[in-house]
Formats: sequence, structure tokens, C-alpha cells
Amino acid sequence: MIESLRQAAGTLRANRLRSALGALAIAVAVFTQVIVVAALDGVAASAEATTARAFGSETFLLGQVAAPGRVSRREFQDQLLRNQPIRRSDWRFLESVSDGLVEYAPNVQTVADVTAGSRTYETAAVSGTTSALAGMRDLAIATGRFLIPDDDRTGTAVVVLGADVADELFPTTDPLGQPVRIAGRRFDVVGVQVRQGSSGGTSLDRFVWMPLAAWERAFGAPTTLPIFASAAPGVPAAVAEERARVSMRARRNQSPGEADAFDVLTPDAARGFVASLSSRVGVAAGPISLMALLAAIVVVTNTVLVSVTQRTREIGVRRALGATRQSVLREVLAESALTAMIGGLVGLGLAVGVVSVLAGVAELPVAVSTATVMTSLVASAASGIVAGWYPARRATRLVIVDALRTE
Amino acid sequence: MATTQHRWYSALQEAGVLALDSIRTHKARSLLAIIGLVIGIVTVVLVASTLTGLRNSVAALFRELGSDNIFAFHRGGDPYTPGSDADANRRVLTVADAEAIERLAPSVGAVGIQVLVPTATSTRVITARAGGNESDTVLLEGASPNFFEVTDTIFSAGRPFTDTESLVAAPVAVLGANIARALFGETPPVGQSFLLGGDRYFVVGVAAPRQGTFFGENRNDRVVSIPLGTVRQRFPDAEQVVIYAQAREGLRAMARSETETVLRLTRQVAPDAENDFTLSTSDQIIAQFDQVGAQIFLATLALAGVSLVIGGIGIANVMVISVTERTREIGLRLAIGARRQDVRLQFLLESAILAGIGGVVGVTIALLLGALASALAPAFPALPPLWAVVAGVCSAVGVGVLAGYLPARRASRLDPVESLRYE
Repeated sequence: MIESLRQAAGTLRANRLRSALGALAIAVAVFTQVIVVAALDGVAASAEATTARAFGSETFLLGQVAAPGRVSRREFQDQLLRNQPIRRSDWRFLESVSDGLVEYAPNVQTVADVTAGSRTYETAAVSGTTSALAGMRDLAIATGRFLIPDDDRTGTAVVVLGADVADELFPTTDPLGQPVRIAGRRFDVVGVQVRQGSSGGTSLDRFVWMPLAAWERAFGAPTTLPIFASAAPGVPAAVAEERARVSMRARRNQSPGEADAFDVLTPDAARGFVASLSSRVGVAAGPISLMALLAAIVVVTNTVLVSVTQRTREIGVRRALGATRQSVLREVLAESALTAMIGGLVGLGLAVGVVSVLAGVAELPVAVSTATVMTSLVASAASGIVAGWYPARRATRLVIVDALRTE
Repeated sequence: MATTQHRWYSALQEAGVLALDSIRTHKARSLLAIIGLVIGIVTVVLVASTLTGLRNSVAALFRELGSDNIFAFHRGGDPYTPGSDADANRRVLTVADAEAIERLAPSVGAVGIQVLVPTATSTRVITARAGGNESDTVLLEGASPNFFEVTDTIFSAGRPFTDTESLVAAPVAVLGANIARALFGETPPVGQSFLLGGDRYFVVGVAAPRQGTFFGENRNDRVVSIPLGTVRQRFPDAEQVVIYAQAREGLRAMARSETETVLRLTRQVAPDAENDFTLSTSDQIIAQFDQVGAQIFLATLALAGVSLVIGGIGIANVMVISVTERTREIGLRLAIGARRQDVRLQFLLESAILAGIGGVVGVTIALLLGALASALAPAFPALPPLWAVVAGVCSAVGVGVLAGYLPARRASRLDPVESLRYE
């Protein structure tokens, strides 16, 4: 084996330009493949990151129908029929049986205009929630504070503004302590969020947070109350999810074996949705870059074929001196695999270089995963073997006498 | 002049003979080089046809709504998807707006009205049921009696609504082709009845399948249309109105600006304020789609082009080998008086012929595969766009000449004495 590799390396070195072109073909194909995969992964990763920011990576959501946009209409209807609306009393029940394992934060949302003096921020996302939400989601506060348990109890008319809302309403003054009007009521600003950026084209900075009781005074009791939940510190996520689910089933008097009469959206489910999106893009990109690899295999086949043809005499002599068909086969396959592996390594190296430049300079969320590295190495070795198969067969089938006679 | 021409021709002929000879004596090698390029060409041409096919069927989708129609909607963008937050609290258009356009805009002929009835809200889902069949992917719309004429809808059976039916809120419906098949199978639907959101409706017409698709589906084939009056009575909360103003022949620009003026008037938009509604035409929507699509198309084509580049590398490789093998022969030719440009021409021609064969074979295979694909999936264009074919062959020959250039130059610069000594 080592001997075959040594010989193959010798052949490659003796025909540098030819071998280099063969390797270049594989390099271009592998480079393309790695870049495509990295780009698709990057899209998926950034989508997931923004989902996590808008949702909380360890948080799950209890609701009548937790993800209306993500189920078929059939399922949606079934859930509507089966699941009763979730009420404030359900939330209080969940709290009372949580044993400190799960934290709950109800969160209702509506769209409303926010005004301050003569300035208006149109269609802000106005959320009614509790102080517990701060422990679940990335709600970094730039100035002031988020809601506190006192606000939850008394339903004080206070708001925390998203960065866009604060900038629009108070371009020059400090928003803290200033009054704003929402749905005809007065609220005092107690905090401003750190700018969060946008996700999927919608800004995450257009939120206004207020205590749930204050929200209900302004907009009326919600038809159903979605509840965010997350594991208390030190509690495994699975335990918390199980506790929330069991509590809710108990609340609904459900018998064993009956389907949940409520819906739970976990981060895994949200991730699955993103993954299915990016795989759909991959469906088109995959075959096209595979064609490139196929073309590259043909190029390597040709290179090795020429090499075999040129060494017909040499192979004849070696066979005449007792070399087995096996060893000839091994040597030709080694030559082809070596060409492809070198090409694969070069392509991979270039791709990793380009990707890290993109990630570093342009700050794109792209990276080459270990899985991609392994796949591309295996793919290039496999291409080498496939490419070498035909020339190797030709070499082993040479009739020794004829081979010796060729010029 | 004549002699120069003659000399050129004979040089070309000689080079051609030599090139063909070389290809013929190395069949396997030439064949493999050609196959590499063929893979590249087939990929590029097929990808180009697929993209063009998609684009054309999307364009057809919007043209089917009437290329002389001006669409008015209170939000920007597609009426069938939730709008941006900025547009969310714009007032919806009304039937009165449509009537005002018809009355006041002289360049507008008929005005069709479409009311979108949400079939899935947070409290209910509307499904359609007939016999044992049920569809939960039904889309429900109210349509004015003239709507089908304004949008040039072709009926495969039955008729549109009458004014009377709309006036008395009759329980009648016109079905899209797919929803008709889903509900009634092979039974002729006209005259049959079905249940929709608990009410019974009678089918008076069925629309023929639409030609255009948006990535394989046309939402209009799933639409159940019922008269405007019926919508008003049974779904009073449906309020999203789309107005289709049909321009008189050749007056599209006029009709558009008149529609704009009328709507600004009826909606009392202040003179310096922006429109609080959006007007579009099918051409405009297609242009927008092209703008967005162009980048994706280019990226995909570039990805397909990688195969072509690799095919070119294959040709270059064969040429390098060819030159190396014939070092002695080149030396000999140079020694007995061949000019460097003759040698260069010989090798350039060899690679161009290889690539040309690859291009022709590649395009042929792509044509055959395209015909097969269009037999299986009618949306796929039977013939690849001419530009894809021309680009395919040209890029093949271009790749060949590029790939052949360096080896040919190398050959022409050989030192005759050194090359004659080469083993």
C-alpha cells in the first residue's frame, strides 16, 4: 500500500502540470461545494439566532394555538376546536403548582400607535407581560429598568420602550419619566431597551412593554393568553417542559392518552421550521454543485488515463517481472485518489480562507463546520477512487506481450 | 490581398487536418475531455431553461389577471400575504371607491371588484365539503359579476354570476379548477351543491385551469368565488377590497393616473400627502419580480458555470498533454520551416474543435432532457431559451480557446533544437 502511494506520488511529480490541472478541477468543485454549504448554514444559523433573540433559546410557549403560521389549516382548525382559550386563572394555577421548577410569563400583544406630545410612533407592538419575562428573554435595558414585581401586582401605568420607539418619540430628550399615550391612556416611561436590530426584515426595536393588568385596562381582556415559560435556574429544560405540560393537563382534567388540549411551542420546533426552509434552498444548490464534482471526476479520469496509456510499456515490464494485477490496480487507484485528495485539500483550504475572511472582514455569520470538512474530504477521496476505476481496469487488463511491444 | 487570403486559408486547413488527426488518434482522451465539457454545458443550459421557465410562468400568472388592468389595494405588496406594519392601519378600499372610478375615470372601462374573505382567523376556519370530499385549502373571494370578464377568466363549464344573483345574495359559486376537482372528482360540478362554512352553495361555473404558476401552483385554481352581495350578507367582516380597473385600449397610462386622482379624491388624501393605497399593473409586478429574481438567477447561473469552468480545465489538461507528447514533432515542424503562428493555430484549433463538439453535444443533450422534462412537467419550457443555447455553444468554444491558449503558446515558443532532443 505504502509502496503504491510512493510510486503514485512519483508519477504525479514527474508530470506536474498535468496532475496539477487534474487536482485543480477537484479543487474548484470542492471549493464551490464548501462555499455553498457554508452559505446555506450561515443563512440557517442567522435565522436561528434571530429566532432565539425574539423567542429566547431556552423558552417555550404555552398557548391555545402556539404557532398558527406553522401548521396546516386542518391542524389549525383541529386545535381551535380542541383547545380552549387560556385564561388568567390558568396562569395562576400553573404558578401555584410550579414548585419553583418553571417560571411563567404571560405575554399578550397587540398593535397600537404610541404618542408623546405631537410625535407619534405608528403601529408599535404593545405587549402586556410580567416582570418574569426579563429572566427568559434578552431584554437588555439601556436606561431605567424593566417591569418589576410591584408593577405586576398593581398594574401601574408604566411602559418600557424599544429603541426605535424611544428614538422616534424622544429624539432629543431623555425619555425616562416622560408620559406617552397609548389607546387614549397615559403611561410613564420607566425604561428603554438596548437596540436589538432586526430579524427577517422586521425590527425587534418596535416593542412597548407594560404590565399585563395595565394592558387589559387599555385593550380589554385578551381572548386567549399565551404564556412564555422557562426552566428555573438549575432545572433541566425537559423537566420544566414536562412539569408545565402535566400541570396544564391537570388543569384541563385530561385523562391519560388524550391529546393535549393546548399547544406547546418549543425552541426545537421553531428550529425545525427554519431547518426545513434552508433545506428547500439546498435542494436546488445541491445537484448543481454535484454536477461540478461530476465534471471534475471526468477530468481526473482523463488525467490518470493518459498516465496509464503513456506508461503502457512500463506496466508491461513490471507485470513481466512478476507484479500482480492487484499491485498495478492499487498503484493506479492511488495515483487517482492522491490527485483528488490534493485537489480536495486545496479547495477546502481556499474555501476556509475565503469563509474566514468573509466572517472576519464582512462579519457575515458563515463558518465551515467540521462535518463539512469531513464530508468534502471523504467526497474528494471517493471521487478519486471513482475517477481511477476505469483507467485502473484498463491497466490491469493489458496483455503483457502487447504492452511490451508498444512504443 | 488574394494571396494573403489564400495563405491564411491553407494554413487554417493544414492546422485543421493536424488537429483532427490528433483528436482521432487519441479517441478515449478526447472523448473524456468532451464529456467533461458536456456536463458543464448541460448543467448551464438546463439551469437557464429552468430559471426562464419559472420566470415565464410567474409572468403568465400576473398577465392572466389582465395586462390592461390597474390593480388598486390599500396596502403595498401582495394582497394575499399579511402586509408590513407601516401599511396595517391604512383604510381599506370600498365598493364605493370602485364605483367612483367607473363613473369618473373616462379612460377606464369596466371596474371589477374582488373581496378577500379570510378563511382562517383566530376563531374559525372555513372548509368546503361536498359528499365525502372536504377541502381545507379553499380560498374564498367575493367577485362582482363583471370580475370574470375584466380578468379574462376562461370558463371550462357554466357561467359567471348575474347582477341579480349578486343583488339578492344568491348562494351560488364559481369554482377554480383544482377546488372543483377536489370537491367533485370526475362529476360535472355545475348544478351540484357544496357546503362552505356551514352554508350550502350551488355551482354555476367552473374556471379552466390557469396557465401561469408561482413555483408550481396557482392560487386562483383553489378559489371559490361567490357574489359580492352574498359576501356582504354572510361574511360581513370581510373588508379587504381589491379593485381591478380595466383601461380602455391604448389608454393604460391615462387610466392609471385617472384612477389615482379619483382614489385620492374619494379617500380625501391631502394634496401634499402620499397615496394611502397602492396601484400596480401586471407589467409593473413582473418588473418587480424580475428585479428581485435577477440576483437569484445570476447566483444560480454562476453556480452552474462552475461545471463549465471545470470542463474547460479538462480541455486545457488534454491540450497540455497533447503538446508535451508532441514536443519532438513540434520541433521538427519548426525546424523545417513551420512558423510559430502555424503551430499556435494548430493547437488552438484542436482545443476549439474539442470544445465545439462538446458544445454541440451538450446543447443536444440539454434539448433532449428539456423535452423530456417538459413532457413530465408542463411548466418546464420545451425549448430552452435561445440565449441559453447560443451562450452554451459560445461559452464552450470560448472555454476551448481560453483553455487552449496557454498550451498553444507554450508549443509555439518551443526551441526547435531543444525539442528535437526531447525524448
